[in-house]
Amino acid sequence: MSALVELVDLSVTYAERGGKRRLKAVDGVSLSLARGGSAALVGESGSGKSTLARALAGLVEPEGGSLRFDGREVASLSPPERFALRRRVQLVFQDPFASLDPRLSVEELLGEPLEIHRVGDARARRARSFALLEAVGLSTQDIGRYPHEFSGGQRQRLAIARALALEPELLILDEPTSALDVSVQAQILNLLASLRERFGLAYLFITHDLSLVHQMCERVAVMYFGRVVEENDTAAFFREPLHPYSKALVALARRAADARALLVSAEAPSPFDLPAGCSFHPRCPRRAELGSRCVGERPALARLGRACAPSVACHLLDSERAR
Amino acid sequence: MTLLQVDNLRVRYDTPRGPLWAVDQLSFKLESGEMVALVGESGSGKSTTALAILGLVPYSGGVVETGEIWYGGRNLLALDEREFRKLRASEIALVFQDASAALNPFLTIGVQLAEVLEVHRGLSRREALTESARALGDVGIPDPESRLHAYPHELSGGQRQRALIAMSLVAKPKVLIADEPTTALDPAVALTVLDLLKREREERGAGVVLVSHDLELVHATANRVHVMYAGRVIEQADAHELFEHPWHPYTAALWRARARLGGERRHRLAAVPGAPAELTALPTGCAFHPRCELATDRCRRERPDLSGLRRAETGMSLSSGRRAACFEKERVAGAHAETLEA
Repeated sequence: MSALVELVDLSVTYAERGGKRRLKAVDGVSLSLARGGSAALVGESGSGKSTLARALAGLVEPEGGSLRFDGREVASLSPPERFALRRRVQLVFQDPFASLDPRLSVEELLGEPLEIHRVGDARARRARSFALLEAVGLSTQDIGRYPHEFSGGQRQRLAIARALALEPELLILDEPTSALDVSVQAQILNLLASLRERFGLAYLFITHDLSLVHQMCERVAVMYFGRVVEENDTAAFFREPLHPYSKALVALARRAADARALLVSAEAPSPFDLPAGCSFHPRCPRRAELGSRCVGERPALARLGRACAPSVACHLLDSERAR
Repeated sequence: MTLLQVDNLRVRYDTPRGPLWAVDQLSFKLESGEMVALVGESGSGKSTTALAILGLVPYSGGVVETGEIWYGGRNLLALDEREFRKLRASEIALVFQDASAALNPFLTIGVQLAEVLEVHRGLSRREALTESARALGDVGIPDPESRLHAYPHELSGGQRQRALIAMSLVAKPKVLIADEPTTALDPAVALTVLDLLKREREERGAGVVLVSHDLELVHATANRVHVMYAGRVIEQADAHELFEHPWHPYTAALWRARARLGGERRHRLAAVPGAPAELTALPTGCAFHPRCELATDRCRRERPDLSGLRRAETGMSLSSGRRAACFEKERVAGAHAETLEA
């Protein structure tokens, strides 16, 4: 079975506003997401995880590399084909207070994507809206209400319903629960889990919340300054993270006693002035073992075995394996 | 030594939909060196409580209806604005969360720090700058003398956050109010902030009021916890007791509902049904009853007050000061005792 999404050496660059500097927000990322699979991109702010997600959704243009959806190179698609592709990838944002137009009723919010993509007539769209409300656990009586009449959790249900309107194959979820009350977060995660089973959706979560990753995802990719430093099965990742940076992230999330020691400096470098070699080397806890390659050569993401084996970008782990 | 004592605080906001009480019947104490957490969701009253301690309720459009907040032998709520302004930052300070919003982009870090000392401690600019450099060094900013001349945008994100903390701490306040101090931060920087707060408590005996919705954070860092729901404290206990053996169904439900890092992944999370109570449309009786699986007719009619456990046979320690506002708390506490035995 081919992957639903396949990235090879993908890069996205931003030009600094009013300046001459350029920022490689995504720098040569290769990843794939299985049909119906669930994966997470994790990393600190500025790691490029949101930019990568926006590139997948067609909201920013990659500068280089390949992005394939369902086996087809996205860059080579004609404009109508790209328009059609948008139906298949939908986004859910962090803040349901900001992402829903307050002037539109529920019926308009749910009908709008169908209208834009010319799906069905008014009656069919209304029927579809009812089905969507039911799917996300809202009442069909809510159809005439407006976003401000709903609680945060209900609004996020509404945003999910809207994202599902066009029957996408991939939902990109950017911190979908971090703006919600704690008691409501679990409701939304449970809803997402059941929708995925029901509709065979693939999920890509963008998050800094590792407990969400543990609960919701099969695969996890850790990003550091635009590059993936580890890609792994989630269970294996939490049992034993491989990259020194992953180890630090997991220890910090667990509030482990040794978390402080796992990041030599809490300070991340400036994205405009990244260290040579492995960008992580000035913060690497294995300082004493750092070799000339760590400081001089950027490590490539290398798979440690067959198909589902983890991939890591670390010279130290490379040389350990070679031994 | 008790630093701060809040007694029977009640704060009202008048809204187009009628009056609402964001905080009601709130009492707690903060001891020197201690971290007390106010935990709750939106509308629970935790941030309003923080505003009240800082004397800022009138600026938010609210009215303190009743209550006293005792600090250093004085009732803060009886002070006029001029007197309160003297206390703010020098004695009772807010630890800001968002460095990009709280620092003035047009002033150097040194000027912003020194200003606090000039105003509150009457230092000269020169003395204040020397003190400011020390404060920056204290929070781990390398080469602090030269960083005094930097503008906020010239610091890295992590350093800006440290500079902001330095600004809260520069006048050595006794009471620190930390409202979601780490929510917007990357985990490594968040840890630094928590370490700094801990050091203030241990080295100078400062007290911290932590306002947060993050149960794991509270569990790991606070000494005592007050769980708030719809403006009232519904449970108060030592942090470790509270989460290991909750008495209130809301505390128990919140703790169960969270996604966890360790252990086997569960098929579904134990979600709490419904949404946090709306203060403009509070249910009758216990505000949590529409979401509570233990609710009885009494819970729907009558509002429970905070009290200790009635029966000792639940096998739980009846530690002093521990209270919950629930008619069914013996059942919740007992359920835990049973699971422990099983």
